[in-house]
Amino acid sequence: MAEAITARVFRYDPDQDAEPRFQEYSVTVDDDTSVLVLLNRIQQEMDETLSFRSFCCGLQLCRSCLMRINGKRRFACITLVKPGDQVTVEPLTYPEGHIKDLVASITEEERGET
Amino acid sequence: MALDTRHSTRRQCDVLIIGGGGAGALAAIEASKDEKLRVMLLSKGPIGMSGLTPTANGGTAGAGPEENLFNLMITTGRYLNDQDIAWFMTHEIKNALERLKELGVPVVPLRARSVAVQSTEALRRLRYHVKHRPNIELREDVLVTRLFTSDGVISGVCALDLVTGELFTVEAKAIVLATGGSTGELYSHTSNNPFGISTGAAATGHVMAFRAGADLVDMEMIQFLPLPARPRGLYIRYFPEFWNGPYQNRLGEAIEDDVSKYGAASYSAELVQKIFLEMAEGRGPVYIDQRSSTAIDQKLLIKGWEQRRRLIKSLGIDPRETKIELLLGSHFSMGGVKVSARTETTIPGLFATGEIMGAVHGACRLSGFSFSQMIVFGFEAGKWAAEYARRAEYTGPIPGEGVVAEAGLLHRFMEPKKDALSVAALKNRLKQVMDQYVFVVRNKEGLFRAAKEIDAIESDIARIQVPRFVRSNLEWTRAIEFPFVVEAARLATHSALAREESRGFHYRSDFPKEDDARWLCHTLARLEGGKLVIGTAPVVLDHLKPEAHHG
Repeated sequence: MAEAITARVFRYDPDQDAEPRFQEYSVTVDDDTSVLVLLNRIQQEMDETLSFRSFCCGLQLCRSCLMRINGKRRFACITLVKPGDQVTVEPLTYPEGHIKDLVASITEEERGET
Repeated sequence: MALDTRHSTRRQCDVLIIGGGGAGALAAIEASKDEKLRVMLLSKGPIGMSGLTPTANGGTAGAGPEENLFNLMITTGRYLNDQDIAWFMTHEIKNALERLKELGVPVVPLRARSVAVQSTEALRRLRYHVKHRPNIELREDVLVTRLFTSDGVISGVCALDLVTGELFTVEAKAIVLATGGSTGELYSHTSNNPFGISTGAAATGHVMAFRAGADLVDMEMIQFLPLPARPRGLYIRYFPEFWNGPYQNRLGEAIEDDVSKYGAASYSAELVQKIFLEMAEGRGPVYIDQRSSTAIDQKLLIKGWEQRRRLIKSLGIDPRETKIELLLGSHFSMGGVKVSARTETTIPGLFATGEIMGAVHGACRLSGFSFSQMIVFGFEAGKWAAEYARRAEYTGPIPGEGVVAEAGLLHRFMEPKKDALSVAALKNRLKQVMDQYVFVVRNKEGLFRAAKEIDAIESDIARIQVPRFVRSNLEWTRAIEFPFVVEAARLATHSALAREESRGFHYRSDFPKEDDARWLCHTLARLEGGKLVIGTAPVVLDHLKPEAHHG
């Protein structure tokens, strides 16, 4: 049976907002899904102003979707959430290197570039 | 918030590379070897975190005798490859792999005719070089939206910084298009989008080249594969090792037990057409059943494959215990911008490398051969673009009215509309048209309908409305890319309509036979007087002739 996932998402556009806030979305899902798929659904079906790096290599190798999920540094592509869950999603860095919402600039260190 | 063109900056470089996948990164590194040249690389996303290179498995054809690689390419490509390009590629790959190793990219032996180049690791290494070459300027999160020419010669581009919303121009003596494939946004299912999430393979490079007057060839040639999968209802790009079937229909009947009889094995058009028929005749879904497959050869494991297996396991899927449901989706564009073996397009100063090149794989691409293409022609494009830039002059500033017009085109999506449409709604309409009429099996009537529908969708682009802000606006980026996707759909449809035969991945139910007498040639798409015109161009057949292999 379809049940909702509650997502608390960090929102901040330095061009427009005085300060960051969390926005809650209630997303109805049938089954387990990944945080990255969930964010895509929120952006496409509920709030097209949401910004995040939506790219996915499919292999948990490219690091594009690294975010803080429930306070921990995680790959959004492979972090699964299930119906009834609550999940908090924040950018990897804030305020340093933050761009908008969940988008932050990526340091060489985060890229694993040597 | 409005896009302000009064302050748009003008930049200059000698060699401009568009695209931050493997081919673009290699081209930039190669061009920068001449320290007098100023090289700029513009990438839509961070290198290694955008485009299709990071989604690839890394299998790279290159081991074994060159003659064998070449012959396999041509016979599987149904003689539609330009043989001078394929010949050069197969004979250069070992050297190019050595040069890749010199850049610190690990290259490990894989099987009889291939090696492995793990894609994200390779891109990290290549990005490191790009960042540390003093004469390369790297700008990531930048989308190039238009090419400019002056008297038929390339002159520069308009580009949008996706983070700040700044529109700027770059004048360049030579430009390399390394923008990847064109089919990731055309169909409901595609292996280009792991987990069903768009990688934005929106054909911007193909369409910018076309609009600037370049010739495109064989745009009807799209490789479809049973790669997208739906185990446990999750949409993933499934890619098991020993990906050879057996393939079964819903009733458990074998569709194909042994794909090894095809040159392209699981990548063959014959297999895909059989699977399509099973689905069309109501015997789907289709499964791959690996429950009794031989054990995995640990020696074959490379990082991407290990990771994929771990990933599948962590999703609670065990291919040893359950059959995996497969979907048919687009995978690769064999058609593309017409190039010489030196990666020159038909516009002086404009080069193209990687998947955007046309006539390399003919009517069917083999597994592992796109990485060979990326590596060989990545270096080549950098070399020839540098060579061209050394001799060339700037062809004059980019006309201000062109930039203003481009700004207007980009900005129109933010203006309020009465009967507004979302990008997703229009894109779904386009995908349905392409799924129905321009997929695995095509015919004249369906392609005509598709052409009409595509025109209607194009006229509705004016109704797209996106939120009004410029910083990292995902919806705006998708809106900007959508007209390119529609044009790519039109190019595929009209090219498919023109080719009245079946060859490789182009199957016409009304012309089911290969017709060498009429169609051993490229379809050629070109803009003439603002209109798409489809003609033909000869295939370069300087080594292998089809007669020798018939009968």
